[in-house]
Amino acid sequence: MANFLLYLRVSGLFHLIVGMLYLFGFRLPETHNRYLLASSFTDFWRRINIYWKEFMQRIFYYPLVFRFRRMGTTRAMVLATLLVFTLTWFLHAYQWFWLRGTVLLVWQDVLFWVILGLVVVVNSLYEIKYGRERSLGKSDQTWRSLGLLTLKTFATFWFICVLWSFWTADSLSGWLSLWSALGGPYTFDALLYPAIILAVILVGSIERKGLRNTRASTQDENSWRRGRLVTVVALLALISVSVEAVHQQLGAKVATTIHSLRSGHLSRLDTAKLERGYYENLLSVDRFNSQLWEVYTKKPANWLDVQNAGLKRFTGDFAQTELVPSFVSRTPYGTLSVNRWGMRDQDHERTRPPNTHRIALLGASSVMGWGVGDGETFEALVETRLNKERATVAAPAFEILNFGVPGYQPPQQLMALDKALTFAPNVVVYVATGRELSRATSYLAEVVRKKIEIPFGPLRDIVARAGLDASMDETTGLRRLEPFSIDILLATYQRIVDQTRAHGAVPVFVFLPQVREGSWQEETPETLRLAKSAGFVVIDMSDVYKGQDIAAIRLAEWDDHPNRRGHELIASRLYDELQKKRETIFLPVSRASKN
Amino acid sequence: MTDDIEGAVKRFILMEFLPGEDPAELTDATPLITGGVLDSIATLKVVMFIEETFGISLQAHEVDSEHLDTIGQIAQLVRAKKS
Repeated sequence: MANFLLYLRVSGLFHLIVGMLYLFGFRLPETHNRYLLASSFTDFWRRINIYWKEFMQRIFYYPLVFRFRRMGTTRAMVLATLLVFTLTWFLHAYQWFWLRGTVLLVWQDVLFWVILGLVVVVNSLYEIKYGRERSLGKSDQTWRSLGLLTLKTFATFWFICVLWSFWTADSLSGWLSLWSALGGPYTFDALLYPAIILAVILVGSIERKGLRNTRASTQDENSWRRGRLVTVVALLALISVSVEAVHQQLGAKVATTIHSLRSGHLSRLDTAKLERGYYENLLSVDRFNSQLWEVYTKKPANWLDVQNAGLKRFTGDFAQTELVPSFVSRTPYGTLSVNRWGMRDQDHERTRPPNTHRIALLGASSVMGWGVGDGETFEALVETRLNKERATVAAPAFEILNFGVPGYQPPQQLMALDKALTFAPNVVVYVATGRELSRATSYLAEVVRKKIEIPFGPLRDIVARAGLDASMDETTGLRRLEPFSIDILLATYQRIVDQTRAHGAVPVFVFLPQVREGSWQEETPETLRLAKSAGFVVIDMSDVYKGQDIAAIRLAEWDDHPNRRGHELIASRLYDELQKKRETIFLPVSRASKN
Repeated sequence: MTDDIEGAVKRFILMEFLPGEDPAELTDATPLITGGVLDSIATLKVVMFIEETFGISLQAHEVDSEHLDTIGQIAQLVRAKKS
């Protein structure tokens, strides 16, 4: 149903454009005609994106019918309809190629248009044989005919919703798992929206007098006034409800819904996908999603994503990937160098130099420093400043070893930790950047699905308790693991703390937010609580970007990695926080740590 | 002759697509395609009717609201084709 509402935004934009042009004297034909009220598939095709339908009809449908009609008019119409839908699919895919430079060939897209084409063909054959109801004005609508029309429209609406959900599904198994929701529970909320839709369809199906597109000058005066009065009253009602002081009187739930409808920000789902793109460089932006699509269409075709920079190689183990040792890349942001140990860092010896505080830094792409050149990462800036501002020359020096790897999820940091501990750090800093719970859970589901051995006992136990196995699809796997998400993250954090302390080092947890506010913030309080519970020294930098212009501290609208300015902010704040907790974090270097 | 074309087309449309409707409501200027009375399937049926009845042949580009939106326009097209 959400997809139907998404298209409502698209059709609304069309109506606004036509309306504005009408103010200047341009009377364009209508672009959509209440497609929510389509009572059949042919009716749906006629009502939705009329310009497209007219274009296909004129340029392809009628010429094809005329070309094929020696086969019989009905056969010609069927063939022409199928070809029109094939061409519609093709032209949609071509549009993607034109805008994005990549070919859109996904089975959901193909099947969507095939299924829609087939149902329209079947419907057309029915109409050819039995016709359909038409009238020149208001006919005598009975309760029975109104009831039947409402049911047909309701059924058409739900079929299209199902088809649309299929079109936007990431996978067939993911779509199939949606059907498990039919098992209930049927709460008030779950039934409310279908009931609202039914009511809207019922009211909308009540016949109005007159033909479509009738000019105002040919309408009778009462009908003209009534139409305008309804529009004005409806607009005033919508405007009134949109005022915060008014919708807050309607209860918290209604107020939140109205507020989100008014918001120009991405929806929760879009934001999650953009965040997922930040973490996983998701390239398959929802093909049908206009808001997120608008963000991604601004992205240049030659934009260098962190995942496409060739930085990583496969390891074949639980971590799956690591940075390529001795890799150097000239990026638009500066040189990106990976040392012989596979760290994005200057070279270090494995043995800790004497009289040195060695800090191992664990994290993902923001920690590694995607988007800035060598020496500009917050890690490098903090290291430089710590050494520069030492109390005396004899005071311990500082080394920060950057073990950040793009795309690493919390469980993968356990592998990074094992590597880091071989460098005998005094301090291990784990940097969390949001969505720790859901990312830890989804990564565990992923490794089970891929049949990757899990070398950590507590995580294996959780998988066993969840009853998860490799045969389950992504959606089912996540659903099994979600009740254990806190256990998964706590087990991960606990291991980091325990192993760090066992090696004589101090475990520090730094929460580094994303530059953009979003639904990822929902997990922050629980994440911080778990970090404290596990025994970390916690540094909460949730407000490090407060008061900053987002555009000034991130790489681009479609890439939320902090830029040079962003790293400077992080470095400054992290330095201050480390100084505040100096006594706790930087223990005397004379304390031995295991190699 | 003038009445024959308009009358024949009107009778066909009433019988095929608007049974039970008041014939007086269907005038020579009633918008059929833009008014939503004729969709593509119905328009093609009208095309077949006028081709068979009046012995003319239409082209694909003539099947649109500029040529077939009203009974008056249909009659005008038929006359143009026959002359």
